[in-house]
Amino acid sequence: MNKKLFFMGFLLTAIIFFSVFIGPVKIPLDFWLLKNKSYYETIVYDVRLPRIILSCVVGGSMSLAGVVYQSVFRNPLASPDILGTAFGCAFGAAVGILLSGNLILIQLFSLISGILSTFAVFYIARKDGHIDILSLVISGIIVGSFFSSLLGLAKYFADPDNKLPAITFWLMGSFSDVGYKDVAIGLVCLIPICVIYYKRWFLNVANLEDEEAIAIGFDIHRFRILMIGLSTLLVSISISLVGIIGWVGLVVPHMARLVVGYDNKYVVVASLIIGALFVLLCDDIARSLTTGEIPIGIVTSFISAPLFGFLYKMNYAKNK
Amino acid sequence: MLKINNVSYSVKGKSILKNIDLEFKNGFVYSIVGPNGAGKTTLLKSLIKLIEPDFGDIFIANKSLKTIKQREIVKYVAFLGQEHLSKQPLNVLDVIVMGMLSDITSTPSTKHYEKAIKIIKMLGLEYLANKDFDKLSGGEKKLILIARAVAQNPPILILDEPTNHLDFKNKHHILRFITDFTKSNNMICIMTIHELEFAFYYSDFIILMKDGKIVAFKDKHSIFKEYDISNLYDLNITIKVIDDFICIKPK
Repeated sequence: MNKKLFFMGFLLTAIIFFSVFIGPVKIPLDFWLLKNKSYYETIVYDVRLPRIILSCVVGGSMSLAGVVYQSVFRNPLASPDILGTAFGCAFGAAVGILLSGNLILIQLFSLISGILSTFAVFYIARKDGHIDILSLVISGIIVGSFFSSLLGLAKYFADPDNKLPAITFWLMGSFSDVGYKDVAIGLVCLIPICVIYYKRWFLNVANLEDEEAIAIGFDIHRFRILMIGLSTLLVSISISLVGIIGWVGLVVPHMARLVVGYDNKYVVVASLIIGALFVLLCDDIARSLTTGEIPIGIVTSFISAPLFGFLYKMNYAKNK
Repeated sequence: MLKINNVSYSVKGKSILKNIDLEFKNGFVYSIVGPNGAGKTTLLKSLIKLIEPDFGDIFIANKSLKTIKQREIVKYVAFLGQEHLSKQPLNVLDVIVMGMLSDITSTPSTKHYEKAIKIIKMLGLEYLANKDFDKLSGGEKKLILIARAVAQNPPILILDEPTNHLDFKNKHHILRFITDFTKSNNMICIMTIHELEFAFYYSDFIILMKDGKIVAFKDKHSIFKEYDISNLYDLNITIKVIDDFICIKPK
């Protein structure tokens, strides 16, 4: 098992290295030996490297959130938008775009709105100090639809020449304007990632029915709130930085399970690596396939949907 | 020793447990018998604080359950509920290791897995060691979950209908196992069970429960002589005790 994880880590490192050379500007393999290297260095260190780092962080974060949601909700179809977090973030960003074009303001609004939407979900779902799965799903749908309608309203009032395209593009996600400031914010994700990694084995226990888990001494209610809180943070930070990147959180955990099995001890690590790898590759495609940039959300969904179908068939064949 | 002291419990004004008084001693197996909805499962749940009684108290080794934290209770009581819906195809050893949960902060170590292997050998279940839990038969699953309960290493074992969904042979197998284990470790075992003949054959004491009340609590030999089971089920039943087994005939 460790061999598999090691191999995936190696693959990720290799692709990170090669991604530096992928993009509209061709970078020679020996650019640091050239005389006019400063031009290439700017592109590599100031444009591509932050992009690569952030796509790995965002990919890992979204995938890890997917693993957590699927375990905690005991549902393989749960994804980071099950609690309506994505709509919460999207609405915040739309408001930010309407009020000003300032990127930091947009990110801040998006993050706050995403977190607020999760608090609303928790508030509606809470009964006698406990939160059960069904009420979480229901309140997730309620809050999600509410924010989705607010987003529609924001789009309706947006100036169609200028603001509306901005909102639409933001919703499709992009790494194109990423700089080190974004990387710095993105690295905050490492804190929730470390906590979830440390507690990863307990995700197996969270898969038990509530009473069974409590009977073996597991405080499942507290664990559930902690894990959902941390994952929401991961999702909100990711989305607020680069927009909505669909499907990653749903598909990557399934890919990971196909490789390492169902034990979350390994699924968590494998998802982090595969998620980083997947978004990195999608971003490579997004910036190199055409002369312009394709929004990454389109690339991830375009690849993920057929991939998910393929994985579903594979899994069936494997378990037959 | 486990003592239930005047425990009552109600949900939305409907009383489920009514002034329950019971005392359990180490080294004995107790069966709770009664019609559906008698409050048997609720009574068991109150023993691990899955529900908190409105009145009364429960004492484990002279300690009130109210003073023991939920997390700590597993050190005193292992509980095996009726339904187990683990859909994850986890390895059998990984399931058993969950019994040592209160001892694990991050991930289980080799020490925990070694203990799990020791338990599985002690129970004679090594042939299941490398299988996936979700691919086992109903009886095998129950055995593994009992192994998980054993891994908790508690003095009290509580089982809610350990025999349901099992075939005739597996019922005997599991009950034989539980009773032997209880006796050899001087534990207390309390279980609910619907088959009177199994309750009689495998336990030392039988508790009859109906409408949230204890109807009778006696050693198994005197209970069917002194109490008419017909009243318990509102059904005409004749029971004949022959040495150490019973015959039941509905009229």
